[in-house]
Order: sequence, then C-alpha cells, then structure tokens
Amino acid sequence: MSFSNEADTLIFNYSSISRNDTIIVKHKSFTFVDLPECGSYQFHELNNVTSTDAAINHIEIYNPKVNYNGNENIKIYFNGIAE
Amino acid sequence: MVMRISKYILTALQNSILFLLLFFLAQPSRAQEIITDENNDTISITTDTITLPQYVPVTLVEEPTNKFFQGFSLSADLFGPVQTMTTDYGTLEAALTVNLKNTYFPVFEAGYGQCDHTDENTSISYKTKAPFFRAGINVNMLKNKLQENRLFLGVRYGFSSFNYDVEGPDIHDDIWGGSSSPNHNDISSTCHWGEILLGVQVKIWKYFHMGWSVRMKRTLSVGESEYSKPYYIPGYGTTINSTSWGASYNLIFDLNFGKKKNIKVIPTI
Repeated sequence: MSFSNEADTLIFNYSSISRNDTIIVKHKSFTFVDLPECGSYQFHELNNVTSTDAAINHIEIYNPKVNYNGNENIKIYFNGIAE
Repeated sequence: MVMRISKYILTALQNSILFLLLFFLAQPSRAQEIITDENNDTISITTDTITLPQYVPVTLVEEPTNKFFQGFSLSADLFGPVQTMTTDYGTLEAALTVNLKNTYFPVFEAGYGQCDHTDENTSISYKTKAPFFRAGINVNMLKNKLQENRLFLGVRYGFSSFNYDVEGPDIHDDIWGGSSSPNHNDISSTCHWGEILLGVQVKIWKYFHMGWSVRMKRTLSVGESEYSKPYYIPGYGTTINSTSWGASYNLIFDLNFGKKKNIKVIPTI
C-alpha cells in the first residue's frame, strides 16, 4: 500500500474470463514508532473497499488495521472456483 | 440480735488491737515544750515524732514495648539524580513513610521523571518530562522490631500521566513514491504499574538513616497512541522488556516520635 495516496487500486486479470476485476482500497497511512531502537514502520487503517463484479461476488474489510501483526484485513468472495 | 451485737463488739476489739499494735510498732516519741508569748501567756507545745520500722526502696525497671504509631519519616532518593546525570533518563523523587509498630510502613512516593533519548542507529529520539506517584507498604521482616535497622519487603502501585515527543527521519515509499514522517509532539499517555521491592535501612546518625531497595516493576496498563508506544514512563522506566528493574538509594530523616515510648518504666519493690 502506498504511503501518501488515499486510495490504492488493484486489477485482477483472469485467464478463464475476458473481464477484469478492479478493487479500490481507501485508507489512512501513518508512521508508527515502536521503540527508538527498532526504527519506524508504515501502518495503514482501511476506510473503505469496493470492487467490480466480473468474478468477485462481494468484498469486505475484515480487520481495518494494517500493521506488523500479520492480520487478515480484506476478504474477497468469488462467484466460481479457481482452477 | 445477740449475734449481731457480739459481731460488732468483736470487730471493734480487732480494730482497737490493730491500732495499738501500729501505735507501738511505730515507736512514737513525744516532746513537750512550754513557752511564753509577747503577752506573758504560757503556751504548751507538744511535738510527736513517729519513726517508721523499715524503709523499702522502689526500683524502676525499663521494659521494652512497641506502640502502634511510631511517627513518620521523609526520604529522598539519591540514585535517580545520579542516573539522570549519567544516562538518558532518571528521576527526582521523595517519599513520606508512616511507621506503625516498627513493622508496617505505609509509603507515599512522588517524583519527577525525564527522558531525552536518541538512538544512534535509527536517529529516532524520544522526549518526556512528567510527575509520577506511587503508594504502597513496606513490611519489616526482622524479628526484633525495636532495633534501628530494618529489612523490608514491599509492594507499590504506580501511576503517571504524561506527554511525549517522538522525532526521526522521514521514511520513503520506494514503490509509489512519497514519504512519511514519524514526528509527533505531545502524544498523551497514562500508565498504571505495580512493583515489588526488597530493601534495607540502617541508622547512620541520630535521626538520619540510609537505605537501598531493588524493585521489579510490571505495567498494568499503558495508553498507546496510533503513532507510537511510550519508550520511557516516568517512575516506571523503559518499556524495552516486559519487566522493568529499578533501584533506589535513600537518605531518610526519621521522626520516630514513638522511640521514647518504646521503653515503659515499671516500679518494683
């Protein structure tokens, strides 16, 4: 995710269908300092997520905090089965 | 009726005999003197002198006792100022202690902690200055509670509400471009923590004592900002590890009002 843009766009290309899916993630970004010895990290907080419906059924924010804890942040539900 | 009258007579006789015995045992001596006053009237003066049969001296014995309220003491920590001068952080603190039976010592501690730390590798700095407070109790573990030296085990609850500044170099987005700054001032935080301590205290001169303590501290709750977490908490120390260790070296002015009361004077024959 970008440090300074308010939204990031991801485009999914599928080999089996002609249309693409576009996901737009709106977020706030900020620098987090854990300890002076550890340096600084770029964290994000998700505000909104939208997608087109070529293969995606729906999309949702599961955990808005994007940090170094390795959380699952976005869930994408597809119409078909990946092969 | 006859019985009651005879009882009265018997009691009167007993009292009379006791009086006569005391009278003769006391060996009174009587002197009589006749003088003439200014009007040439004759006055007779009688002087009685009673000599007691024996003089028994009374001895006063001092017996140690342990009163409930033994006064209070004021103390100042000398370790904190030395730590402030030699490291990036430290405290100035003082304590008021109440002495109960030379065994239980409720303590209230207040101080001012400060930190100005910059890491050499990351160039990130952390600054804070704020007061802190602790309350708790020490328990004297020595068997002889009346002696001047003490060995303590104690617990504390600590609290500090403080603001801190974090500054450092910008970090750059190598993929999308742009940069972000970690600089934030006046980040507000509140911390609660607990301590257990072991310490000793010895008398050095009159009301002055010295002592040291070693403290193990753990945070109960720390208010974290979305931009940073506190590196140093006034009164607690650094948050590098989950447990913080501290020490104090105290100069203590002991107003032990109960000291004289600890000796009870008992008259014995």
